[in-house]
Order: sequence, then structure tokens, then C-alpha cells
Amino acid sequence: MAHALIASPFLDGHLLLKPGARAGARISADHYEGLRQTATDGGSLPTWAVQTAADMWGLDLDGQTAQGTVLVREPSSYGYCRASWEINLGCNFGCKHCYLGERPFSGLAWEEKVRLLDIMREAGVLWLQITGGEPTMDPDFQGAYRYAWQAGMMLTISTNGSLLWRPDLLRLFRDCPPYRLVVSMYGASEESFDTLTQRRGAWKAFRRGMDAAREAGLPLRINVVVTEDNASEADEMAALAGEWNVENHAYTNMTPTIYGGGEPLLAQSATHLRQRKPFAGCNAGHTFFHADPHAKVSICKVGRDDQIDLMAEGIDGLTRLGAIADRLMLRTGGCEGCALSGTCRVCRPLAKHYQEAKAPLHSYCQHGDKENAS
Amino acid sequence: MTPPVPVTILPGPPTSARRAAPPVATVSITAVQDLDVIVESTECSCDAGDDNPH
Repeated sequence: MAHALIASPFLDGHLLLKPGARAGARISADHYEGLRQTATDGGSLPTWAVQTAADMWGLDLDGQTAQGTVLVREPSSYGYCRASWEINLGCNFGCKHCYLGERPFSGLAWEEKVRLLDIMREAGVLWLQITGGEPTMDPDFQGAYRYAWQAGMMLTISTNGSLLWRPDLLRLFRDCPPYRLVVSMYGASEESFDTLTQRRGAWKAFRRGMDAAREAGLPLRINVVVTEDNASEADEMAALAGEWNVENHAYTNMTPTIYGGGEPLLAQSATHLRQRKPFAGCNAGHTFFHADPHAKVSICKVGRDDQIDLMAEGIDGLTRLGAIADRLMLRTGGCEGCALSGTCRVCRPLAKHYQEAKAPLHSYCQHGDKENAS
Repeated sequence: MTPPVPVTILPGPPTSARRAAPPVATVSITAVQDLDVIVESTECSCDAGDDNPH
């Protein structure tokens, strides 16, 4: 039976959530423990939970037992709250700017996917982004999605939208609502869209998928990807997303490929490049992590050095990730000895990535920016 | 010839770039109208990763 609510630890607190809902509630440790006990004992949902569900989401859960109504996530000693998973790098588009570079169609066998998701659940992952490649193309996508959802995760899918018209996918998202579907938009016309994605028919597939997803009322967000090929349509793309009443965000700065290639940078629109947000530290590797198609885990999508093979090491491999994160944040390599490191505001793994791609200094270093401007 | 210029070597970044967790509810129930505020915060998200369209 599908759960109506999720109660879960989250960082140093606790949350009460409705699967797929944008709104939630912070609850106290006492509330969480009480709910956990009630779910074990087979008691009725406590009054505060019934009231919160009514107030927050308009649910009528009066008289329901806690067990079966609330999925209570167990506390985890690993301390993670979020993860991303490239289920398969295979993709039906061939975008020029893609940071994945080569996109081999391969991933874990079904049993290993289940094991990875079990590890994520045990590690405390509450929000999971399933991405690709085009994730919905993976033969196990629907099974893995459903398994993760039933494990009490809030799911975000990053997709090109081209397959969202499929009835089986629409049924899946109706039965197990996602937290969000993030769809990339690569143009506002057939010509620019198909040129950037290097696939004839990509625009039509995107429109068909978006029409179906909007009609189904799915929680969409659009990533407007602005590159040289579609730069003249940047405003039109945002306007189209607005016309559809879908929240959207423009992405203009591309990243070198995960293999250190600078090709995506060549696809950028020079006139649309934006100054990078100052980096002020992050919890990569400590509260969130990234898994590639073969369950090789890194601190994030950018810092992929020193990957941990979760299929070989099991969940205890994650205990090494925090130290890896701290090491990757140190100024080494091209930044070693920089006299300006005290005022550096650039993510070190990101800088290393650009340096390996032999990108110009000003494209990743704010001090390089000043030098460039002077 | 240009005279030598004194340079101050500043300390590097801290060993750990971790941030503190956000405040949590301890005694009551607090509505969070937009969970993105906590999910996409730097406590559990990546500043650099959002530059990663694919």
C-alpha cells in the first residue's frame, strides 16, 4: 500500500512530508519518536499528525492507523540527506555542451540497483535525484524509481522530456508522485533544438513530452540551456516556459566533460556567460554524494576523484567520503601556492576540472576575472 | 628595473569547508511552504553543481 506521509530524520532535525509535495513540516524529535513508536505498536495516527496533514496538504487521515499511513524512515548514523544517481549515461540526444562527453549505455544489473538504493536508504538519503543520460531510457528506470519511492525517498528526475508522453511513465508518476521533474530545454524552435541536440525530431519529442506532462499536472521545472546554437532564442525559451506556467532557470555556463574535455566550453554563448556565484564552502561528501551508473560514489558531480566502489565496499565505503571531500577542497595542483587563496571564492574541485581541460583562467577563477578586466 | 614588491601569503582555506546545519525544530511543528529552501540550500546541495546542464 502506498504511504500517505513520510516521517524522517533530516540533517539534525526531523521532517513530516507528503510524497511529491513541495510543502512539508519540521517536527520535533519527540514528535518523530512518538510517531515511530506508534507505527510500530499499530496505534492510530496522533492528533498532531492528523491536524498537520489537514493543514498542510488537505488530507483527511482521521482514524487512520500510523502503520501503513506513515512511512517512518529510520535514523542513520551516516548522516546523508541527499544523493544524485546517474542511472545510465545513455541518451537519445547528442547535445554539444553535455558535460558527460561519451555517453555509454550501461549501468548496474537490477539486483545491484536494488542494493545501491538500499545503501542510500540506510545512509539516510531522503531526497534522490535520478539523472542520466536520459534516465527514463534505462530498462530498470521504472522499477528503480518505484523501489526508491516505496523506500520513502522524495524523487527528482532530470530528463530531456522526450519520453514523458509514454503512458507507462505517466502512470508511474501518477501512482508514485515525484518531488520534481526537471526538464532541459535546448531551444524554442525546431531548428535550434535539433541542431544543439544533434537529433532530428528532438524538438517534436520534447514538445510531445511536455504537453503530456503538463496535462498530467506533473511538478515540472525547466532548465533553459543557453548556448551558441540557441542564444538568439534565450528570451523565447524563457517566455515559452512562462507561457506554460512552468518555473524555469537559465543555464549559461557549461562545464568541461567528466573526462576533462573542454568541448562543452566551445558550445557556450560568450555574450550570455554569467559571473559564477561565489563559493562559500559546501557539504559535498558529508551530507550528500553522487553515484555514477556503476555505483562509483564521489562527493558530487564535479569532484569525481577518489571514487568509492559501493558494490565492492558496501555502505561502509561511505565512511571514507568525508575525508575525501576535505582533501579535494584543499588548494593543490594549479592552485597550489596561490598568494590569493585567502580570498578565493571558487570551488576547488571545479577549478581543477577547468584546469585539466586547459580552460582560460578567467573562466573559473575570480582573480583571473580581475586580471582579465584590468 | 622594477623594485621588488612585498607579497603577503594568506592562509589557505580551512581543512574542512563544511557548513553548519540549519536550525531545526525542537519543540513544535513548523510549516515549510517550499522545501527547496532546505533541499537546495548549501547544507545539502552543491554551489557549483547548478552550473551543470546536460
